[in-house]
Amino acid sequence: MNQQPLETVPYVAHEKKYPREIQGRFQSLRAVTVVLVLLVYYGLPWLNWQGHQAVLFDLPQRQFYIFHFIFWPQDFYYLTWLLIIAALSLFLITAIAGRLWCGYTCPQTVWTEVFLWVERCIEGNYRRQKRLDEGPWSGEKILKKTAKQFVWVFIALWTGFTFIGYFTPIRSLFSQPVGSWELFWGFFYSLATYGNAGFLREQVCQYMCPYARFQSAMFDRDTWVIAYNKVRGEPRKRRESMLAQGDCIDCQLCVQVCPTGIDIRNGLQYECIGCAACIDACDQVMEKIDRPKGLIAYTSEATMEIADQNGAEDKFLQWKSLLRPRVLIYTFIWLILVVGFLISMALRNPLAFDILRDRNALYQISEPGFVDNVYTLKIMNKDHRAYSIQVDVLEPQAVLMGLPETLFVAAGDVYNLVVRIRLPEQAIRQNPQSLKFQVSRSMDALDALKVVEETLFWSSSPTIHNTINVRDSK
Amino acid sequence: MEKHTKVWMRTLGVVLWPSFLVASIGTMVFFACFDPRDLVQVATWPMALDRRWGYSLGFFLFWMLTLMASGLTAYLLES
Ligand code: SF4
Ligand code: SF4
Repeated sequence: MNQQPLETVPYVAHEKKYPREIQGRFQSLRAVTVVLVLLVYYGLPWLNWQGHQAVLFDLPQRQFYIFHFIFWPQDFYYLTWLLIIAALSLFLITAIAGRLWCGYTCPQTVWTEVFLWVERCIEGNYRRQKRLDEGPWSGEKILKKTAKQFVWVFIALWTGFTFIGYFTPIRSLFSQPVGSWELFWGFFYSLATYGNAGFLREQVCQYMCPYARFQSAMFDRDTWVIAYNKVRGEPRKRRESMLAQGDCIDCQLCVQVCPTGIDIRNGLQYECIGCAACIDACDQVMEKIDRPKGLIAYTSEATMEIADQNGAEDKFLQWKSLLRPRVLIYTFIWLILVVGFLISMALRNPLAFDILRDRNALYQISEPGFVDNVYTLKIMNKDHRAYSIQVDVLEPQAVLMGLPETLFVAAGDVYNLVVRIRLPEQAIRQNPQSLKFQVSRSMDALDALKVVEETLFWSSSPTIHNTINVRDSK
Repeated sequence: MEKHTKVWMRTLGVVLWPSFLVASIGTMVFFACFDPRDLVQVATWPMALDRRWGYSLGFFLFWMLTLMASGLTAYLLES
């Protein structure tokens, strides 16, 4: 079918694949990872943590809740940092073990498996599915196809609305009318799920996925790939003629089970998503004909070459290759990033503030001999309880005006405080000069915290005090 | 006919999906730095949008841009 490299046939019409189902150790492992991913995805939004949804990206409030932590737009670099760690993890895993991600955890794989499973339950095995598709529109066909679409649409909708449950408290989706944008995004995501898992399937991997294209750049000779052992298998034999020597009996099982419809015996092809179905299929056959398993197996180019020379595989070398420089360097960088991230999370300050200058006037002179600057302090309490906050200015002669009597900032809240700083002219050394604010919380020693931020204080040039004001001061 | 439709759809997929990915990243970075509620206040035309609208419109604006770029590239490559 698709044995030519894709570049030479960029736009062949796509044929629906009917992969034959297979059991085996890798397929069991895949079932486990698939179920895990599903459990996490559908279950996480329902989990509560310290009185709020454990994982909630509250966009309207601009706050992200992730278990114990509350993230703010100001913490964006943590997110970036996490994304870099995730990308590097993918590099590392790809360098070691090839397309494990594709085969076991990629959402594309996971939801395709779910949709395939539904299809199988309703329409029967691959042969029946094909017969059904090719057959005329009988009552049975209509019934089965309708039932399948019904279940598919249901799963897609459930997926879509779980998705918005990550952005809008999921329980409120059932108790309150759903907003129009939530509805829109829920349907949007449902549609994407339906299209990708029910309809496009392996075409997403082959034509649309960027990772599938650039993963080969992370491959080297020691990367584990799923490969057919040519030395052992060839020449292929049919059971009738026992003349040939190879172990491959050319039963085509590995081709029938492949979701992308390739023949792994033709060597590594980039359509292969590493699902390991062909390994399980071939192992079954080897068991039946009483030959050692592993004619198709996770191996590497280097291992195969050595096996070629020595006539036997050296599993030790395959493990030893884990210590090659590429892997060590990736691991080293990965560790630094992860440790750095953990440390900075642990030291993260739950009290923070930003200083914004008054946009309209650089400075004001409301009393002769004094210069005023107006600032807005955005005080953020990223903690889980309310605190009383104290604001000071670290400049001996400055007068701070506009403070309320008591200043409470609720848990996970921002307080916008407008303050006026008045400085006598003799305290002005420079234009602009630095000015420090200090925000502190709770007087009892245990969780007392102080944060200092710096800003600028503007005045007219110190020698010409009487030049009034740049822009529209009041 | 069947064949032709499929080719057309594949091109559509290749244009839609990567532009969607890039637009998502762009939206994330952009709105991490700017609050739509503040942007509305300094807009050239009077607008009354809450954050939900801001985010969604912002995303579609980004997607439209990336879509046009990807679409043009695909078109140039094919014709
Ligand atoms: S090729 Fe891409 S879409 Fe397909 S399984 Fe791999 S990562 Fe997922
Ligand atoms: S060649 Fe084997 S591992 Fe690769 S996609 Fe086909 S069945 Fe899965």
